[in-house]
Amino acid sequence: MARMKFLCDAERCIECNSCVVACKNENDVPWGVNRRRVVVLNDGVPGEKSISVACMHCTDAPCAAVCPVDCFYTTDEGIVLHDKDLCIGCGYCFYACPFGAPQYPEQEAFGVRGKMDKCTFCAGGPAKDNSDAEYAKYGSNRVAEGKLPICAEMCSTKALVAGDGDMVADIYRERVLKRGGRPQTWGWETAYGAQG
Amino acid sequence: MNKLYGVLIGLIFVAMTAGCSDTSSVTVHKPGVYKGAKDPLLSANTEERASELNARFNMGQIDR
Repeated sequence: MARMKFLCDAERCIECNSCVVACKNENDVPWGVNRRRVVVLNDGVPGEKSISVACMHCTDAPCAAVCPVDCFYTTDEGIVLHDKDLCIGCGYCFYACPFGAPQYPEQEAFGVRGKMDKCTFCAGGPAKDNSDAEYAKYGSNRVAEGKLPICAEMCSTKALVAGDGDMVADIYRERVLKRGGRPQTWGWETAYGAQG
Repeated sequence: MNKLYGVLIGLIFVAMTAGCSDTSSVTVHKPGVYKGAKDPLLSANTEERASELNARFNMGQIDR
């Protein structure tokens, strides 16, 4: 069974922000919400790195674990989606998510939070596939059309890759072998230590 | 005086019967179980879609 994953190659990302723009355009993301962001590490310092971050569709998603109304579900491909009809906009998922993926549009005065919005891996939500209702709430459903997320499909340097985790891993392994040395995945040293 | 007793008895009756019309059955939700609408994507043919997505991946995302 395929498990869909994103991977951003920090050695290739050139911080063009096209993934952010493409995502906003494809999904008609509301003003003030960014489902995807490009984060620059050590900005301005020689050797700075950029990575594109969105929902990583975790296998054991902490957002789903803390949701008091259980509005999250996972598709057979491992895509973590949520139901905006159930969401109460409490913000627990935002605190639980290590990537800051859940976002909340300001829908009323005094900054009252609206329903949570996050990357759907371009797979829509629990509404009729590619219907107007689904598009209005969750954005486009490219997966139902046999397509992969727009952010990865249009990445000019192929830094951002999205697809079956095994295939993504194969591509990254080949790149690392070609470059030589150890994996340069962001957070590798934090997770496994400098010698890891 | 009788009017006052009447009001007092009425208040006591209201206080004693408060909540009696509430239903005694409660809905108990099992925590951690998604309770929303079913996504049509879940009922589609997963195998077919997986091969479709893999073909799409090979078409546009592999290194040249």
